[in-house]
Amino acid sequence: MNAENTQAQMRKGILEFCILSILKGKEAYPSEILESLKSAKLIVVEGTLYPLLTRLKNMELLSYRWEESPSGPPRKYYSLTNDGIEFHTELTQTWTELSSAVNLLSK
Amino acid sequence: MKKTISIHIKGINFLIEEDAYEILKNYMARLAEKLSNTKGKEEIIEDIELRIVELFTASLSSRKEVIEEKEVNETISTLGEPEQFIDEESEGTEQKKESFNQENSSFEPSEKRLYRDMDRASIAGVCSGLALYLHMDLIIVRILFILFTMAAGFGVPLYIILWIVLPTANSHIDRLRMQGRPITVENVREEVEMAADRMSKSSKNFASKIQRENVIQRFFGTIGKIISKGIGGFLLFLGIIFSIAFFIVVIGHMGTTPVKTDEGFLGLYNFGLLFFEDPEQLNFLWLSAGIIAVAGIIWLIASGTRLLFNLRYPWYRYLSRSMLFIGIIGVVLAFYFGSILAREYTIEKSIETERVASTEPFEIETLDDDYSIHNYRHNGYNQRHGKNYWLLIKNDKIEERGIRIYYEVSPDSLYHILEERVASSRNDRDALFRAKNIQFKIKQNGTKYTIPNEYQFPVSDKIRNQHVQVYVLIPKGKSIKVNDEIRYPDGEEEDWNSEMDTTTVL
Repeated sequence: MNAENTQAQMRKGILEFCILSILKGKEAYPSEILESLKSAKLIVVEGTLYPLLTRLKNMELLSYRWEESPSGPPRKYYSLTNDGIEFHTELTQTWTELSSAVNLLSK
Repeated sequence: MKKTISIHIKGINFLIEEDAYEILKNYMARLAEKLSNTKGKEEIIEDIELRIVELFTASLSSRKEVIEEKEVNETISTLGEPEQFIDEESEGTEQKKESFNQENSSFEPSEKRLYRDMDRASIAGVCSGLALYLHMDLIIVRILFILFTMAAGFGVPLYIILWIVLPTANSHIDRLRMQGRPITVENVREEVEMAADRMSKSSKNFASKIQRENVIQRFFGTIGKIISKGIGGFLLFLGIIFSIAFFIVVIGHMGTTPVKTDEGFLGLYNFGLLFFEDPEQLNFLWLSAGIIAVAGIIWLIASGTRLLFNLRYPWYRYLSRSMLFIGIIGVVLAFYFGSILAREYTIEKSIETERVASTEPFEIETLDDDYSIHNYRHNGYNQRHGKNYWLLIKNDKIEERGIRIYYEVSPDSLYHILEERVASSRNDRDALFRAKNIQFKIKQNGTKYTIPNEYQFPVSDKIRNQHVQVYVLIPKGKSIKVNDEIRYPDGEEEDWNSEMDTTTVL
């Protein structure tokens, strides 16, 4: 139970970083982001994504544009803002440091 | 067998089992409740709804058309329960920190694009699309287009090119771009709602049309529409032509009448002064003409645009009607002052003078250096000179051209030449006075009489139908030499004979 909670917390923290990583270099709409996250087994329920996207957007790390889809309703295509790119670079650095630290300690 | 209802999510229709719908509704309610303290709640719900549409769409096929409980439950488990992904605490605290940020965060403004707007189209929506793009009123764009066409002539090809090149705004996103509104969920939704509204309206119209009219009637309806558009275009065209003419005549004060003076041609107002003894009356007539012209032009343009563009604003109708009313007042005024002038022409008087009474034959020379304008009047000529003016004003005298010459059989054995001066006025005295004032003189050179082509009268006499007639009377059995062709008196053709320039009364 305790382990599960910690896992969830860890996942959630990393999730933001991963969303930014997915959006680095290309724009994507939520279903595409979900696909990537699912294939990396980073996400359990899809609902998790949406509050995160909205929050990142409100932090002005992401922006989106609408595009008509060939089938169904219009899609929101998300992409990184300049702030987002900067933020992602910082996070990458932090991540590299952390992962090497974790690797070193958990050996 | 289960009951199915139709729902739409983000503008997409689904058939869903009633039970399944209840579950979905419940889930959305829980979600909304859970998010109630979270900023960006609407956006999150919006995004989740979009995802639900995708998941639903993926689960349907041509053989499976209804969303059942199973699909709803699968969708919910894919998305997860709100408790699983919404941490009220953390979202709530973050919300406070970022509230400042949020208020200032703006949606990315979308670039504005040029589309054809079929919803407001008269022909192909080019003008209405341009109007949105340029932030101008649709009517102004259309009028500019028409002016463009008439002035430079390339409005029509330009229209056709834009018609071909510009895409129509088909999607809701296109419509937002066309209007230059940022593409936000709110705006898209508004646009979708408006589209739904438009569709239901037009389908209602269509349905009621189907009920009322059969195919033939609809065909004539279309013809009628084309005709009314044609009439509208014509009225608008007239309005523009008249306003240009009005501008030239009144404001430009240019020489627009065929009356030549030393200083060029007379303007319409000064031309009027040649008729009115009292300038005050002319002023009133001028005013009423101005009222008619302005009201008429506004009426033509208003009615024309109304028909052409099928405008249904009530104020447009009031404008047309009030202009019609003002125009009628103008006509009544014009009639009144016109009738004052018309009285000046009720009495006609003439003075006859015998220029020649002789036993000797003579020669008649008419001066008509331009034969292109030859009006036969009775058996004489009305010699109108082929000049570019009708009247010439010189030394305070009006010179008019055109003398009527009548060749008739003399009642005695003498040749006669009679001059008759004629003028009109409102009473005998004034008419005679004006007739006397006409200056006209036949020149004699040996046995040759030269009949001039013009006569003069004082400007102060005003134009009162002054004219001059000359009677040449020839005794029976005698001849006369005329440098012109003679038309014999009606009913006496057999008694006359012309050979070369000599005419004989048999």
